[in-house]
Amino acid sequence: MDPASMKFLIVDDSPTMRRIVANSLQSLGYNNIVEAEDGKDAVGKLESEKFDFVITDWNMPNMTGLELTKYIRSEPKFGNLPILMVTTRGLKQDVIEALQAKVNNYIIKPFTPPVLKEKIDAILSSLG
Amino acid sequence: MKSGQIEKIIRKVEELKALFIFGQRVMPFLEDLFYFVQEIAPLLDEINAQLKESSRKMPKAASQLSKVTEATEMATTEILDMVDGIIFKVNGIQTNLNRFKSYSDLQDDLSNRIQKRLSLLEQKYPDDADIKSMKELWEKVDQSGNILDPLQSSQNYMNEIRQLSSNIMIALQVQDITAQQIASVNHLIESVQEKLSTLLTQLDSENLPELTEAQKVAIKKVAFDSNAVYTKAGERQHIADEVISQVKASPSVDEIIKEQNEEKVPETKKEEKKVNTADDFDIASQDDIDALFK
Repeated sequence: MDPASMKFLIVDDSPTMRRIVANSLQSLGYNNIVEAEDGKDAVGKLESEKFDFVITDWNMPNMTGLELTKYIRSEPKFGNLPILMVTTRGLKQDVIEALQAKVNNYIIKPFTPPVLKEKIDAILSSLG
Repeated sequence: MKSGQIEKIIRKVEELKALFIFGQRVMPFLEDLFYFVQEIAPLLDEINAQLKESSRKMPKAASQLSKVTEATEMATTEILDMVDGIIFKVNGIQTNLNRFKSYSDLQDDLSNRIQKRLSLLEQKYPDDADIKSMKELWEKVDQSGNILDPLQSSQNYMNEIRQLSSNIMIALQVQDITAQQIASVNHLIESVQEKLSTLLTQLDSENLPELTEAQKVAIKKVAFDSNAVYTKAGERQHIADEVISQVKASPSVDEIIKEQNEEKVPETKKEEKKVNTADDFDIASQDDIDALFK
């Protein structure tokens, strides 16, 4: 898929992190970006707009990234919407829990744009 | 009076005597106890007052920490604005450099063409001094007009500035991580304050005042990871990559969980590790806090 046409949803309660992820995506050529401040806000946006990729934090008020992932996976209308978890949680058990919830990949903060690119590319190539 | 009644009276008198003797012996101890209670009472009052004072200060400490988060968030936004400004200007300079490069390429092309014409003229009129002189002059112009090297050097500087800006942006992720660490400390303070409040209620039935609305607003509720740490970017990523590749290689996530459980260190080893590694930073859980007040 052409990067310019891909629509990203960034979900993070930290405005700083949302901006850093958005800037990193822009530096990779992805310019169609929408932001949500927690899982609940993201659900609202997912219900009203179509997205091609979700990048979510884990620890957020109202609805966590893990709950958001479970919600997306429980709704057939979202199909195989790619989900990339970007979080500070770095324990093996955390990664396993996220994988059980069916995230497509996992990044531990702090991240670098090359790592973000690597994970996005890996997800997109695995989904064909 | 019957002899049985007299014996009974004598027994009672002896009991009374024994009681007096006991009273005599216990009196100094009772006096000591009396003095001890007299002395300890102000001390207990002092402890009580200190506990109250500390408990009252806790919301202020928590609110101050929340303010630190707000301040760093604002500062980070300002830095990000500046980084964006730098990148915007670098892109502007880059556009100008590209224009210079196009101009230089065009100039090179024209210069080569003039040079060729002059060579042809030189061949046609080998004895013409003006043509010879013009050719020599043009060669000098051509050499002095080479701006490709400084252009390339500027291009490299621009790339370096872009990379440095990107590094600043990456380093600013520290704000999110420290905000989570502060939120974790705030949670701890709130829990301790709650326990102290319960303790004080039990001591003198006086509960601590509720947090004011301003204090409640100041202590921003943040979802946090109590184990959040700022390490060099990508340093911990291999843990996630390792698990993900294991899952990909394995038929199910459940198998990996089983392996993880088997890999777990025995309890006794865990204890040893806790004692031996001073650098370990364990965040107190609610259970730890509760245990302190048992």
